[in-house]
Amino acid sequence: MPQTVLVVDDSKTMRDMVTFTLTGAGYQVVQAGDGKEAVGKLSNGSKPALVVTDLNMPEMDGIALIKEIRKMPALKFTPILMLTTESSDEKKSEGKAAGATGWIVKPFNPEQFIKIVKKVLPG
Amino acid sequence: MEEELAGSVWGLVIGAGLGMAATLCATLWWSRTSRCRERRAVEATMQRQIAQLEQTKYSWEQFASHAIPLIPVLTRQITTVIEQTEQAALDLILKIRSISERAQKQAAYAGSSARMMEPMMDVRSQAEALASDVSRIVMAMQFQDITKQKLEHVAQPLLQMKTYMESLVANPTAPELAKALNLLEEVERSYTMETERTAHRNAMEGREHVGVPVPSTAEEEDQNVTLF
Repeated sequence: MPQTVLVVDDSKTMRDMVTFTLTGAGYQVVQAGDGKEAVGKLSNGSKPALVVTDLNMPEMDGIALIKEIRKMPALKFTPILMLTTESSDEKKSEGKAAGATGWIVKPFNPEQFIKIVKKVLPG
Repeated sequence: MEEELAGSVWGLVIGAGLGMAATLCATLWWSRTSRCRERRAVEATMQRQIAQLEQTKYSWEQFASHAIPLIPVLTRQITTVIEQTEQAALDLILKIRSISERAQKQAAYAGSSARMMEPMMDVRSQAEALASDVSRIVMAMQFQDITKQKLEHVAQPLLQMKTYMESLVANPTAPELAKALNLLEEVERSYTMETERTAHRNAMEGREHVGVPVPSTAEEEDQNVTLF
């Protein structure tokens, strides 16, 4: 049974590129267009093995999404990777404090991305 | 003798009085004329300043009447570029997915073949090379999203400027217009990429534009990853 990854990004091209990379490596992908939509999907019982999220999104940004996820007991230890154009150390610290597992600055290299995914995924 | 002396004294007193009165009249006349001249000069200066203000107001109104309709046109052009590049990127993803799936099938076929002949190995190595190329293409294609974000950061302050100018033309004395429009600072705060911050700094300091290299080596790509 393939592991499921929740991909959250307001850009459809980015969601599709991350999905393309993950499905090519054998993962199943669920997509959300912003933090609010992602929380909705997670509240409906979806329990992904990994969350990959953008930072700047309408409705609810990536940091707020991480905080919401960490409040959910079932997802308290689910790895969360930030995938964003933001590269400032200040924002990275904010992400770390919120509970992010890692920070990847766009553009990502698909091969390197899969290596990181394998590294942070349990099992 | 006494009468003559008294007459002379009175004459002197009357003469002095008349002299003083004449001096006073002359002083008053001079003072009044001088005040009139000063007032005329002040009025002339004020009229010149009013004319200058009217000219300035007219120039700004002319500028605003052209700039206000121009801004939505520019932002629409930016949005159109974003939409078109987005569509192109989505089309490319579909094509790349198809190429990649074929490459994977070829590689699997070559790998599972019982007859591991040299041509099959060649097919596999070609498929692997193709997969690597696809990986580089996916990386390059993400610049659509990066470009989109940069253009949005340009379009946003343009729309703010339009709103401000509209208010300025409608009611120049509105109290909310007295506060400073810190667009430069707001623009700087909206940046998310180091390339944006560098370009902003260079522009502010009047430096030549220097292109920003795209990470191409594994080491450069590693710098973009932080695991907490």
